[in-house]
Amino acid sequence: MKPTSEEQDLLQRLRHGNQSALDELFRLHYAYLCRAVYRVLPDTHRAEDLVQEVFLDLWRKRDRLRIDQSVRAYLRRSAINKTLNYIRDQKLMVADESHLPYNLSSAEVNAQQQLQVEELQADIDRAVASLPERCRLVFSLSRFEKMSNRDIATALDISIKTVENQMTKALKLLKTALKQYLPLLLGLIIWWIGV
Amino acid sequence: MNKKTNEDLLNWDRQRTGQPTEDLRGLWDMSGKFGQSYEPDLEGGLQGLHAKLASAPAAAKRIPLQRRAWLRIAAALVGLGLLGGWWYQQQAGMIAEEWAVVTTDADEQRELVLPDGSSVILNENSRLSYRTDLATASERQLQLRGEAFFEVKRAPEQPFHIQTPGAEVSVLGTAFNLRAPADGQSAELAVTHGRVAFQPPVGDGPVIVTKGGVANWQVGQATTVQTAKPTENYFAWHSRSLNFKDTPLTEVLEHLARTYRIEIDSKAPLSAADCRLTGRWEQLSAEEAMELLAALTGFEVTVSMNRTYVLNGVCQ
Repeated sequence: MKPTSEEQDLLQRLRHGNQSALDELFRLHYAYLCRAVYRVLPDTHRAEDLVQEVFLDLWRKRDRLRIDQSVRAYLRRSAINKTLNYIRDQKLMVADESHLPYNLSSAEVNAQQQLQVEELQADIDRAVASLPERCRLVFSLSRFEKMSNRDIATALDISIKTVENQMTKALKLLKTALKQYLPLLLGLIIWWIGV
Repeated sequence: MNKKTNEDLLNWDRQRTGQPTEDLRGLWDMSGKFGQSYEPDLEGGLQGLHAKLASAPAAAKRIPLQRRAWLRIAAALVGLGLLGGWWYQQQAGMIAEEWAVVTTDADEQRELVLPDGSSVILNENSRLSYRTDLATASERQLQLRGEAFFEVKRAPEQPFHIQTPGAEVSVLGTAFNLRAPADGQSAELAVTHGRVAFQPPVGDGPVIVTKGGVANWQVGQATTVQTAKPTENYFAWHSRSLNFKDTPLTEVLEHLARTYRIEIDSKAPLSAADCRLTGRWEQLSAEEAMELLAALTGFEVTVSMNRTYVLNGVCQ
Protein backbone atom coordinates (compact mmCIF):
# COMPACT_ATOMS: atom_id res chain seq x y z
CA MET A 1 0.00 0.00 0.00
CA LYS A 2 1.72 3.14 -1.18
CA PRO A 3 0.47 6.68 -0.81
CA THR A 4 -2.21 7.52 -3.38
CA SER A 5 -1.55 10.28 -5.85
CA GLU A 6 -3.72 12.66 -3.86
CA GLU A 7 -1.70 11.77 -0.80
CA GLN A 8 1.51 12.33 -2.75
CA ASP A 9 0.29 15.82 -3.63
CA LEU A 10 -0.49 16.56 -0.01
CA LEU A 11 2.87 15.29 1.11
CA GLN A 12 4.59 17.36 -1.53
CA ARG A 13 2.82 20.49 -0.36
CA LEU A 14 3.68 19.57 3.19
CA ARG A 15 7.32 19.26 2.28
CA HIS A 16 7.24 22.73 0.86
CA GLY A 17 6.15 24.09 4.18
CA ASN A 18 2.49 24.48 3.34
CA GLN A 19 0.68 24.40 6.64
CA SER A 20 -2.73 24.03 5.06
CA ALA A 21 -1.54 20.63 3.84
CA LEU A 22 -0.91 19.71 7.45
CA ASP A 23 -4.40 20.89 8.40
CA GLU A 24 -5.88 18.85 5.58
CA LEU A 25 -4.07 15.72 6.68
CA PHE A 26 -5.26 16.43 10.19
CA ARG A 27 -8.89 16.64 9.12
CA LEU A 28 -8.59 13.45 7.13
CA HIS A 29 -7.03 11.30 9.81
CA TYR A 30 -7.62 12.81 13.25
CA ALA A 31 -10.76 10.91 14.25
CA TYR A 32 -9.41 7.61 13.00
CA LEU A 33 -6.14 8.05 14.87
CA CYS A 34 -7.82 9.17 18.07
CA ARG A 35 -9.98 6.07 18.06
CA ALA A 36 -6.97 3.83 17.43
CA VAL A 37 -5.05 5.42 20.31
CA TYR A 38 -8.11 5.41 22.55
CA ARG A 39 -8.43 1.68 22.16
CA VAL A 40 -4.98 1.22 23.61
CA LEU A 41 -5.18 4.07 26.14
CA PRO A 42 -8.83 4.76 26.95
CA ASP A 43 -8.46 8.41 27.92
CA THR A 44 -9.96 10.83 25.42
CA HIS A 45 -7.95 13.86 26.51
CA ARG A 46 -4.69 11.98 26.46
CA ALA A 47 -5.53 10.28 23.15
CA GLU A 48 -6.28 13.62 21.50
CA ASP A 49 -3.11 15.14 22.92
CA LEU A 50 -0.96 12.27 21.66
CA VAL A 51 -2.47 12.41 18.18
CA GLN A 52 -1.89 16.16 17.99
CA GLU A 53 1.74 15.46 18.89
CA VAL A 54 1.92 12.99 16.01
CA PHE A 55 0.96 15.78 13.63
CA LEU A 56 3.41 18.11 15.33
CA ASP A 57 6.15 15.57 14.69
CA LEU A 58 4.98 15.18 11.11
CA TRP A 59 5.34 18.91 10.61
CA ARG A 60 8.79 18.97 12.18
CA LYS A 61 10.03 16.14 10.03
CA ARG A 62 8.28 17.26 6.89
CA ASP A 63 11.34 17.59 4.72
CA ARG A 64 12.73 14.24 5.82
CA LEU A 65 9.64 12.09 5.42
CA ARG A 66 9.91 8.78 3.70
CA ILE A 67 6.49 7.14 3.60
CA ASP A 68 6.24 3.85 1.75
CA GLN A 69 2.82 2.89 2.95
CA SER A 70 -0.48 4.71 3.02
CA VAL A 71 -0.32 7.93 5.00
CA ARG A 72 -2.94 6.60 7.37
CA ALA A 73 -0.95 3.44 8.11
CA TYR A 74 2.19 5.49 8.70
CA LEU A 75 0.42 7.86 11.05
CA ARG A 76 -1.26 5.04 12.89
CA ARG A 77 2.03 3.33 13.52
CA SER A 78 3.55 6.57 14.82
CA ALA A 79 0.55 7.16 17.04
CA ILE A 80 0.60 3.69 18.58
CA ASN A 81 4.35 3.88 19.19
CA LYS A 82 3.92 7.21 20.86
CA THR A 83 1.12 5.77 22.98
CA LEU A 84 3.17 2.77 24.07
CA ASN A 85 6.09 5.05 24.91
CA TYR A 86 3.75 7.25 26.91
CA ILE A 87 2.38 4.26 28.82
CA ARG A 88 5.91 3.10 29.52
CA ASP A 89 7.20 6.51 30.60
CA GLN A 90 4.24 7.23 32.81
CA LYS A 91 4.53 3.74 34.22
CA LEU A 92 0.87 3.11 33.63
CA MET A 93 1.36 -0.60 33.13
CA VAL A 94 1.77 -1.37 36.78
CA ALA A 95 0.98 -4.51 38.73
CA ASP A 96 -1.52 -6.87 37.33
CA GLU A 97 -4.55 -6.14 39.42
CA SER A 98 -4.55 -2.40 39.31
CA HIS A 99 -7.31 -0.44 37.62
CA LEU A 100 -6.90 3.05 36.32
CA PRO A 101 -9.75 5.56 36.36
CA TYR A 102 -10.13 6.23 32.65
CA ASN A 103 -12.45 8.79 31.11
CA LEU A 104 -14.86 6.73 29.08
CA SER A 105 -16.01 8.52 25.99
CA SER A 106 -19.32 6.80 25.75
CA ALA A 107 -20.24 7.42 29.37
CA GLU A 108 -21.06 11.03 28.53
CA VAL A 109 -23.03 10.14 25.44
CA ASN A 110 -24.98 7.34 27.02
CA ALA A 111 -26.02 8.98 30.24
CA GLN A 112 -29.28 10.05 28.62
CA GLN A 113 -29.70 7.32 26.05
CA GLN A 114 -32.13 4.51 26.72
CA LEU A 115 -31.88 2.61 23.48
CA GLN A 116 -30.41 -0.83 23.86
CA VAL A 117 -27.79 -0.19 21.20
CA GLU A 118 -26.30 2.61 23.23
CA GLU A 119 -26.54 0.52 26.38
CA LEU A 120 -24.66 -2.25 24.68
CA GLN A 121 -21.99 0.21 23.59
CA ALA A 122 -21.73 1.62 27.09
CA ASP A 123 -21.49 -1.83 28.58
CA ILE A 124 -18.84 -2.87 26.10
CA ASP A 125 -16.85 0.27 26.75
CA ARG A 126 -17.09 -0.19 30.47
CA ALA A 127 -16.22 -3.86 30.29
CA VAL A 128 -13.05 -3.30 28.30
CA ALA A 129 -11.89 -0.21 30.15
CA SER A 130 -12.29 -1.89 33.52
CA LEU A 131 -10.07 -4.84 32.75
CA PRO A 132 -6.95 -4.84 34.91
CA GLU A 133 -4.48 -2.55 33.22
CA ARG A 134 -1.96 -5.02 31.89
CA CYS A 135 -4.70 -7.40 30.84
CA ARG A 136 -6.48 -4.62 28.97
CA LEU A 137 -3.32 -3.51 27.24
CA VAL A 138 -2.53 -7.02 26.02
CA PHE A 139 -6.11 -7.48 24.88
CA SER A 140 -6.21 -4.14 23.05
CA LEU A 141 -2.92 -4.69 21.28
CA SER A 142 -4.18 -8.05 20.08
CA ARG A 143 -7.71 -7.07 19.24
CA PHE A 144 -7.18 -3.60 17.77
CA GLU A 145 -3.56 -3.39 16.71
CA LYS A 146 -3.69 -6.99 15.49
CA MET A 147 -0.32 -7.70 17.02
CA SER A 148 0.79 -11.30 17.33
CA ASN A 149 1.29 -12.69 20.81
CA ARG A 150 4.98 -12.67 20.20
CA ASP A 151 5.06 -9.02 19.18
CA ILE A 152 3.04 -8.05 22.22
CA ALA A 153 5.45 -10.01 24.41
CA THR A 154 8.37 -8.12 22.90
CA ALA A 155 6.71 -4.73 23.10
CA LEU A 156 5.76 -5.10 26.76
CA ASP A 157 8.78 -7.16 27.82
CA ILE A 158 6.75 -10.04 29.16
CA SER A 159 6.74 -13.71 28.20
CA ILE A 160 4.52 -15.11 25.48
CA LYS A 161 2.94 -17.32 28.12
CA THR A 162 1.98 -14.24 30.10
CA VAL A 163 0.44 -12.74 26.97
CA GLU A 164 -1.62 -15.89 26.43
CA ASN A 165 -2.71 -15.92 30.06
CA GLN A 166 -3.70 -12.27 29.92
CA MET A 167 -5.71 -12.84 26.75
CA THR A 168 -7.53 -15.77 28.34
CA LYS A 169 -8.20 -13.71 31.41
CA ALA A 170 -9.49 -10.80 29.33
CA LEU A 171 -11.90 -13.01 27.42
CA LYS A 172 -13.10 -14.57 30.66
CA LEU A 173 -13.72 -11.20 32.30
CA LEU A 174 -15.36 -9.73 29.23
CA LYS A 175 -17.59 -12.72 28.91
CA THR A 176 -18.75 -12.29 32.47
CA ALA A 177 -19.35 -8.59 31.99
CA LEU A 178 -21.24 -9.05 28.73
CA LYS A 179 -22.90 -12.39 29.22
CA GLN A 180 -26.41 -10.98 28.93
CA TYR A 181 -25.67 -10.16 25.29
CA LEU A 182 -24.36 -13.53 24.33
CA PRO A 183 -26.93 -15.85 22.80
CA LEU A 184 -26.03 -19.25 24.28
CA LEU A 185 -25.62 -20.36 27.82
CA LEU A 186 -21.93 -20.23 28.49
CA GLY A 187 -21.37 -23.11 30.86
CA LEU A 188 -19.10 -24.94 28.48
CA ILE A 189 -17.13 -21.84 27.60
CA ILE A 190 -16.68 -20.94 31.23
CA TRP A 191 -15.32 -24.38 31.86
CA TRP A 192 -12.96 -24.16 28.91
CA ILE A 193 -11.60 -20.76 29.84
CA GLY A 194 -11.21 -21.84 33.43
CA VAL A 195 -9.01 -24.78 32.43
CA MET B 1 -10.15 -13.86 15.31
CA ASN B 2 -6.95 -13.28 13.56
CA LYS B 3 -4.18 -14.66 15.68
CA LYS B 4 -2.88 -18.18 15.17
CA THR B 5 -2.95 -18.88 18.89
CA ASN B 6 -6.55 -17.80 19.15
CA GLU B 7 -7.51 -19.88 16.16
CA ASP B 8 -5.81 -22.83 17.77
CA LEU B 9 -7.76 -22.25 20.95
CA LEU B 10 -11.01 -22.12 19.04
CA ASN B 11 -10.23 -25.26 17.07
CA TRP B 12 -9.18 -27.09 20.19
CA ASP B 13 -12.38 -26.15 21.90
CA ARG B 14 -14.46 -27.10 18.91
CA GLN B 15 -12.82 -30.53 18.81
CA ARG B 16 -13.22 -31.02 22.50
CA THR B 17 -16.85 -30.10 22.82
CA GLY B 18 -18.00 -30.80 19.28
CA GLN B 19 -19.87 -27.51 19.39
CA PRO B 20 -19.19 -24.28 17.53
CA THR B 21 -17.79 -21.62 19.76
CA GLU B 22 -20.08 -18.93 18.55
CA ASP B 23 -20.08 -17.26 21.90
CA LEU B 24 -16.38 -16.67 21.74
CA ARG B 25 -16.72 -15.29 18.27
CA GLY B 26 -19.63 -13.21 19.42
CA LEU B 27 -17.55 -11.90 22.26
CA TRP B 28 -14.66 -11.16 19.95
CA ASP B 29 -16.89 -9.31 17.52
CA MET B 30 -18.59 -7.38 20.28
CA SER B 31 -15.37 -6.33 21.88
CA GLY B 32 -14.44 -4.80 18.57
CA LYS B 33 -17.05 -2.18 19.19
CA PHE B 34 -15.07 -0.77 22.10
CA GLY B 35 -14.66 2.96 21.70
CA GLN B 36 -16.67 2.97 18.51
CA SER B 37 -18.85 5.87 19.50
CA TYR B 38 -15.90 8.05 20.35
CA GLU B 39 -15.94 11.05 18.11
CA PRO B 40 -13.21 13.54 18.97
CA ASP B 41 -13.81 17.24 18.48
CA LEU B 42 -12.06 17.98 15.19
CA GLU B 43 -11.97 21.76 15.38
CA GLY B 44 -10.87 21.65 18.99
CA GLY B 45 -8.15 19.24 18.02
CA LEU B 46 -6.99 21.47 15.19
CA GLN B 47 -6.78 24.39 17.58
CA GLY B 48 -4.79 22.19 19.94
CA LEU B 49 -2.36 21.38 17.13
CA HIS B 50 -1.95 25.05 16.20
CA ALA B 51 -1.33 25.91 19.82
CA LYS B 52 1.40 23.29 20.00
CA LEU B 53 2.96 24.54 16.77
CA ALA B 54 3.08 28.08 18.09
CA SER B 55 4.35 27.49 21.59
CA ALA B 56 7.88 26.92 22.84
CA PRO B 57 8.68 23.60 24.48
CA ALA B 58 7.75 23.55 28.16
CA ALA B 59 10.34 21.60 30.13
CA ALA B 60 13.85 21.42 28.72
CA LYS B 61 15.30 24.05 26.42
CA ARG B 62 15.37 22.66 22.89
CA ILE B 63 18.18 23.57 20.55
CA PRO B 64 17.07 23.02 16.93
CA LEU B 65 19.77 22.20 14.41
CA GLN B 66 19.70 22.87 10.72
CA ARG B 67 17.58 20.46 8.85
CA ARG B 68 19.54 17.93 6.94
CA ALA B 69 18.63 15.97 3.89
CA TRP B 70 20.62 13.01 5.11
CA LEU B 71 21.26 11.64 8.55
CA ARG B 72 24.15 9.54 9.70
CA ILE B 73 22.79 6.15 10.61
CA ALA B 74 24.93 4.69 13.36
CA ALA B 75 24.84 1.07 14.44
CA ALA B 76 23.32 2.48 17.63
CA LEU B 77 20.02 3.03 15.88
CA VAL B 78 19.65 -0.69 15.24
CA GLY B 79 18.64 -1.00 18.84
CA LEU B 80 15.91 1.62 18.47
CA GLY B 81 13.46 -0.53 16.54
CA LEU B 82 9.84 0.48 16.31
CA LEU B 83 8.30 -1.71 18.95
CA GLY B 84 10.91 -4.25 19.90
CA GLY B 85 13.44 -3.44 22.49
CA TRP B 86 12.02 -0.23 23.79
CA TRP B 87 11.65 -1.61 27.25
CA TYR B 88 14.83 -1.99 29.28
CA GLN B 89 15.01 -5.12 31.34
CA GLN B 90 16.02 -2.92 34.23
CA GLN B 91 12.74 -1.12 34.02
CA ALA B 92 10.89 -3.96 35.61
CA GLY B 93 12.53 -2.74 38.78
CA MET B 94 11.90 0.90 37.94
CA ILE B 95 8.18 0.66 38.24
CA ALA B 96 8.27 1.01 41.98
CA GLU B 97 10.50 4.13 41.91
CA GLU B 98 10.13 7.62 40.56
CA TRP B 99 12.03 8.28 37.36
CA ALA B 100 11.90 11.16 34.93
CA VAL B 101 12.69 10.65 31.26
CA VAL B 102 13.95 13.00 28.58
CA THR B 103 14.32 11.93 24.97
CA THR B 104 15.50 13.56 21.79
CA ASP B 105 14.61 12.85 18.20
CA ALA B 106 16.89 13.06 15.21
CA ASP B 107 18.25 16.59 14.71
CA GLU B 108 17.36 17.61 18.20
CA GLN B 109 19.54 18.55 21.18
CA ARG B 110 18.19 19.31 24.63
CA GLU B 111 19.67 21.07 27.59
CA LEU B 112 18.38 20.55 31.09
CA VAL B 113 19.21 21.07 34.72
CA LEU B 114 18.77 18.10 37.00
CA PRO B 115 17.26 18.29 40.48
CA ASP B 116 20.71 18.18 42.06
CA GLY B 117 21.93 21.17 40.07
CA SER B 118 23.95 19.18 37.55
CA SER B 119 23.40 20.08 33.93
CA VAL B 120 23.09 17.81 30.93
CA ILE B 121 23.10 18.47 27.21
CA LEU B 122 21.53 15.56 25.37
CA ASN B 123 22.52 14.86 21.78
CA GLU B 124 20.08 13.69 19.14
CA ASN B 125 18.43 10.27 19.24
CA SER B 126 19.19 9.90 22.90
CA ARG B 127 17.36 8.99 26.05
CA LEU B 128 18.21 10.02 29.59
CA SER B 129 16.31 8.89 32.64
CA TYR B 130 17.07 9.93 36.17
CA ARG B 131 15.64 9.30 39.58
CA THR B 132 13.62 12.23 40.78
CA ASP B 133 15.24 12.08 44.21
CA LEU B 134 18.59 13.12 42.72
CA ALA B 135 18.97 16.06 45.06
CA THR B 136 18.64 14.02 48.22
CA ALA B 137 19.43 10.35 47.49
CA SER B 138 22.61 8.80 48.83
CA GLU B 139 23.47 7.77 45.30
CA ARG B 140 22.45 9.84 42.28
CA GLN B 141 21.21 7.40 39.66
CA LEU B 142 20.71 7.91 35.94
CA GLN B 143 20.47 5.90 32.74
CA LEU B 144 21.69 7.03 29.34
CA ARG B 145 21.22 5.65 25.88
CA GLY B 146 22.90 7.73 23.17
CA GLU B 147 25.17 10.68 23.92
CA ALA B 148 25.24 13.52 26.43
CA PHE B 149 27.56 16.06 27.97
CA PHE B 150 27.37 16.27 31.74
CA GLU B 151 28.46 18.91 34.22
CA VAL B 152 28.02 17.21 37.51
CA LYS B 153 27.52 19.25 40.63
CA ARG B 154 30.14 18.29 43.13
CA ALA B 155 28.72 16.22 46.02
CA PRO B 156 31.32 13.87 47.47
CA GLU B 157 28.81 12.12 49.73
CA GLN B 158 26.54 11.35 46.80
CA PRO B 159 28.20 9.58 43.88
CA PHE B 160 26.62 10.33 40.50
CA HIS B 161 26.03 7.03 38.76
CA ILE B 162 25.09 6.55 35.10
CA GLN B 163 24.09 3.18 33.69
CA THR B 164 24.24 2.68 29.95
CA PRO B 165 23.75 -0.33 27.69
CA GLY B 166 27.55 -0.48 27.56
CA ALA B 167 29.71 0.81 30.37
CA GLU B 168 28.73 2.32 33.72
CA VAL B 169 30.09 5.62 34.88
CA SER B 170 30.48 7.01 38.39
CA VAL B 171 31.44 10.57 39.15
CA LEU B 172 31.88 12.91 42.06
CA GLY B 173 32.04 16.31 40.45
CA THR B 174 33.21 16.92 36.95
CA ALA B 175 32.45 17.65 33.29
CA PHE B 176 32.59 14.90 30.68
CA ASN B 177 31.09 13.63 27.46
CA LEU B 178 29.60 10.17 27.46
CA ARG B 179 28.67 8.27 24.36
CA ALA B 180 26.73 5.03 24.88
CA PRO B 181 24.90 3.62 21.85
CA ALA B 182 21.75 1.64 22.47
CA ASP B 183 23.18 -1.62 21.20
CA GLY B 184 25.48 -1.89 24.20
CA GLN B 185 28.45 -2.79 22.04
CA SER B 186 30.62 0.15 22.96
CA ALA B 187 31.00 3.16 25.22
CA GLU B 188 33.23 6.21 25.11
CA LEU B 189 34.02 8.68 27.88
CA ALA B 190 35.95 11.94 27.46
CA VAL B 191 36.68 13.89 30.66
CA THR B 192 37.00 17.66 30.58
CA HIS B 193 37.75 18.07 34.24
CA GLY B 194 37.45 16.06 37.42
CA ARG B 195 37.62 12.33 37.96
CA VAL B 196 35.27 9.74 36.50
CA ALA B 197 35.18 5.98 37.09
CA PHE B 198 34.45 4.05 33.90
CA GLN B 199 33.27 0.47 34.33
CA PRO B 200 32.75 -1.70 31.25
CA PRO B 201 30.37 -4.63 31.58
CA VAL B 202 33.18 -7.20 31.35
CA GLY B 203 36.73 -7.17 32.54
CA ASP B 204 38.26 -6.03 35.80
CA GLY B 205 37.48 -3.11 38.00
CA PRO B 206 36.69 0.42 36.95
CA VAL B 207 39.20 2.67 35.22
CA ILE B 208 39.60 6.17 36.65
CA VAL B 209 39.69 8.77 33.91
CA THR B 210 40.86 12.29 34.63
CA LYS B 211 41.10 15.54 32.74
CA GLY B 212 42.28 15.06 29.20
CA GLY B 213 41.50 11.35 29.28
CA VAL B 214 39.39 9.37 26.85
CA ALA B 215 38.30 5.85 27.76
CA ASN B 216 36.98 3.58 25.07
CA TRP B 217 35.36 0.23 25.44
CA GLN B 218 34.20 -2.03 22.63
CA VAL B 219 32.73 -5.46 23.00
CA GLY B 220 35.42 -8.08 22.62
CA GLN B 221 38.26 -5.64 23.26
CA ALA B 222 40.04 -4.38 26.33
CA THR B 223 39.26 -0.90 27.54
CA THR B 224 41.72 1.68 26.27
CA VAL B 225 42.49 4.99 27.89
CA GLN B 226 44.22 7.79 26.05
CA THR B 227 45.54 10.79 27.89
CA ALA B 228 46.40 14.39 27.16
CA LYS B 229 43.74 14.81 24.52
CA PRO B 230 41.81 17.98 23.87
CA THR B 231 38.64 16.39 25.14
CA GLU B 232 36.58 19.42 24.19
CA ASN B 233 36.49 17.95 20.68
CA TYR B 234 34.31 15.15 21.95
CA PHE B 235 31.73 17.71 22.87
CA ALA B 236 31.95 19.63 19.61
CA TRP B 237 28.66 18.14 18.50
CA HIS B 238 27.16 20.83 20.65
CA SER B 239 29.79 23.53 21.14
CA ARG B 240 30.97 23.62 17.53
CA SER B 241 34.36 24.30 19.00
CA LEU B 242 37.22 22.18 17.75
CA ASN B 243 40.76 22.42 19.04
CA PHE B 244 43.54 20.59 17.28
CA LYS B 245 47.01 20.39 18.79
CA ASP B 246 49.35 18.50 16.58
CA THR B 247 46.48 16.17 15.95
CA PRO B 248 47.01 13.39 13.41
CA LEU B 249 44.91 13.60 10.29
CA THR B 250 42.91 10.45 10.96
CA GLU B 251 41.78 11.86 14.27
CA VAL B 252 40.91 15.22 12.73
CA LEU B 253 38.72 13.48 10.18
CA GLU B 254 37.03 11.41 12.86
CA HIS B 255 36.14 14.49 14.85
CA LEU B 256 34.90 16.32 11.79
CA ALA B 257 32.70 13.39 10.83
CA ARG B 258 31.26 13.16 14.32
CA THR B 259 30.77 16.85 14.92
CA TYR B 260 29.14 17.68 11.62
CA ARG B 261 27.55 14.31 11.01
CA ILE B 262 29.10 13.95 7.59
CA GLU B 263 30.91 11.11 5.95
CA ILE B 264 34.45 11.59 4.78
CA ASP B 265 35.70 9.31 2.10
CA SER B 266 39.42 9.67 1.74
CA LYS B 267 41.06 8.55 -1.44
CA ALA B 268 44.31 9.96 -0.17
CA PRO B 269 46.77 8.04 2.01
CA LEU B 270 45.95 8.87 5.61
CA SER B 271 48.84 7.39 7.44
CA ALA B 272 51.32 10.11 6.56
CA ALA B 273 53.07 10.54 9.87
CA ASP B 274 53.77 14.20 9.43
CA CYS B 275 50.26 15.15 8.50
CA ARG B 276 49.08 16.87 11.64
CA LEU B 277 46.92 19.85 12.31
CA THR B 278 46.94 22.57 14.91
CA GLY B 279 44.43 25.30 15.43
CA ARG B 280 41.10 26.35 16.87
CA TRP B 281 38.11 25.93 14.66
CA GLU B 282 35.18 27.77 16.17
CA GLN B 283 31.57 27.94 15.05
CA LEU B 284 32.18 26.69 11.55
CA SER B 285 29.64 25.06 9.35
CA ALA B 286 30.45 21.72 7.80
CA GLU B 287 31.28 23.33 4.48
CA GLU B 288 33.55 25.92 6.08
CA ALA B 289 35.32 23.28 8.09
CA MET B 290 35.98 21.15 5.03
CA GLU B 291 37.19 24.16 3.09
CA LEU B 292 39.56 24.99 5.92
CA LEU B 293 40.76 21.42 5.91
CA ALA B 294 41.43 21.65 2.21
CA ALA B 295 43.30 24.92 2.62
CA LEU B 296 45.48 23.64 5.41
CA THR B 297 46.32 20.27 3.97
CA GLY B 298 46.37 20.85 0.26
CA PHE B 299 43.77 18.15 -0.24
CA GLU B 300 41.18 18.52 -2.88
CA VAL B 301 37.81 18.29 -1.24
CA THR B 302 34.69 17.58 -3.23
CA VAL B 303 31.17 17.07 -2.10
CA SER B 304 29.59 13.87 -3.22
CA MET B 305 25.93 13.13 -2.71
CA ASN B 306 24.27 13.75 0.62
CA ARG B 307 26.92 15.21 2.86
CA THR B 308 29.74 12.93 1.84
CA TYR B 309 33.07 14.62 1.27
CA VAL B 310 35.78 13.08 -0.83
CA LEU B 311 39.44 13.86 -0.24
CA ASN B 312 42.01 13.60 -2.93
CA GLY B 313 45.64 14.41 -3.14
CA VAL B 314 48.44 14.47 -0.67
CA CYS B 315 48.78 16.19 2.66
CA GLN B 316 51.37 18.94 2.85
